[in-house]
Amino acid sequence: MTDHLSFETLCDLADGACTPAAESAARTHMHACDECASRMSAISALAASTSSLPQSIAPPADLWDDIRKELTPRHSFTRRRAWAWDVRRLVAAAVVIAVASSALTALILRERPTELAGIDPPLPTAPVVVEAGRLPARLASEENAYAESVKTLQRALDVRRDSLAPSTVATVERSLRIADFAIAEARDALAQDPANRALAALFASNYERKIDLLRRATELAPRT
Amino acid sequence: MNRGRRLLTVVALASVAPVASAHAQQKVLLGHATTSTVSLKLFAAVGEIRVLGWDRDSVELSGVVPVGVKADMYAGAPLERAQGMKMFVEAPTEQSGREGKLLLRVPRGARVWLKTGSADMEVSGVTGGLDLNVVGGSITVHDSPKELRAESMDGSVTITGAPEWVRAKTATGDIILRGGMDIGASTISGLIRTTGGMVERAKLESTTGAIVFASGVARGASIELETHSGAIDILLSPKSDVEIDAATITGVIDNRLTKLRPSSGRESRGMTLLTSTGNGSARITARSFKGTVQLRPK
Repeated sequence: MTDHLSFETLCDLADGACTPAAESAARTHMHACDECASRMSAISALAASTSSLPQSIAPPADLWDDIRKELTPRHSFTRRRAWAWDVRRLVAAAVVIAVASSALTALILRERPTELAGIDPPLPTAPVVVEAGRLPARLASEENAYAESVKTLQRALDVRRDSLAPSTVATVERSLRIADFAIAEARDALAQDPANRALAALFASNYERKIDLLRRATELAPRT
Repeated sequence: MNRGRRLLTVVALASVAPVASAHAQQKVLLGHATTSTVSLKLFAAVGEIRVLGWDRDSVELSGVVPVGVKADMYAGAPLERAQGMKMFVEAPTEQSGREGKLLLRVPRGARVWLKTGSADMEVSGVTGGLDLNVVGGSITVHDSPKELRAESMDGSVTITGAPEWVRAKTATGDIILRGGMDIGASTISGLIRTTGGMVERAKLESTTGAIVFASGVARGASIELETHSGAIDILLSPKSDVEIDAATITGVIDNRLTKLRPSSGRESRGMTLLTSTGNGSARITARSFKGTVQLRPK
């Protein structure tokens, strides 16, 4: 048999997110395909063993301390430009680390579930207004990646907050609250209807707009 | 500062008597010969700035700023026409960075990167590229630069020309486009409105801001409209050749363009609609979480 079930289909099946017709077709296929049945069994076991795991994994604590030290504002004008360049490089490096960390998280969640017991508890995530239900593994993994980027950019913005005009900070914070509320609403709906692709796309777009806003805020010039 | 790389062909910074303000002011006049497609970067802490494309191969920055403001430029080899330039106008305090007026004249084909804090920015006559960034002020672009990127936090972005490629972003400010072929516009809570022109490709997205699409649709165009809770209003000529695919999660779809009624969405929540006018060669996709999607003839 050559037309095996896709990884996404197997994940949806494990999450209970398939339509009845798709689930019936997939199960019929697995009766005749040992390979897909075996993969399904592994994914189901993975879902069961990861259900109690944290939704995000923090980078090592000393890494953030080092980054924070480098981001400490310097007051001399002549050094400000160099500092600004350093911030950009550090933010870029931090984003790369966050993405790599999230990718590693996803990889571990999918392939090495039994080795997660010793990993540190997660850092607090970005504020979310509405308490939502648990997302399926695939969406939770995607959200982890977004949350890591948000966290990194939020830290960079916090470091720069005092150098920005109060009115600018107010505008950014107001917009972030709006974005957070929209994310929480979409997340709540997605937890109830995880197979809704249009909803998943809206959820992702809300995160992307928030990340873009944070990125732009971290690039603002001092005193603006 | 590397003085060997610094060239000021014309510099005049002179204190003048205050007019009706408590702050003394000084004149600024900087200039340099350039190529017709010079790339120029200007960071300007100023209250208002105009950029004007002119038919000369030179750049000139003139205007009035508060005393204490520093203005300077760097343009490479002294005797050559500059292909790239950097200029800055830097204020010692936040308040002085919100005062003064500047006029920047550039060759029409120039590529201009301009960043300010709270300045209102107005650009006209430039056909090259524009990358404009402001925090609290507004951006207005007339005429049709080839490429345009405009970002504002609080202020509005208004584009009256028809750039080939335009990307506009705000947090709370409105985005008004009266033309453009390849359009990207994104906001958190501002309004996005497009009118006029024939759009070939567009992605308009907001979190809570309303989206109004009333531009013409080119043959084979691809238009994406997406919002979380803003209203989406699509105004089309009944003679358009457009297929419209609209879906909401909990919102309402109100179709006054064709006779087709929307149907209920998944699990009886929200609505979906797939309809078309003409031969449907172009496609409009509208997605909303809870905002209303309305289709109307124009």
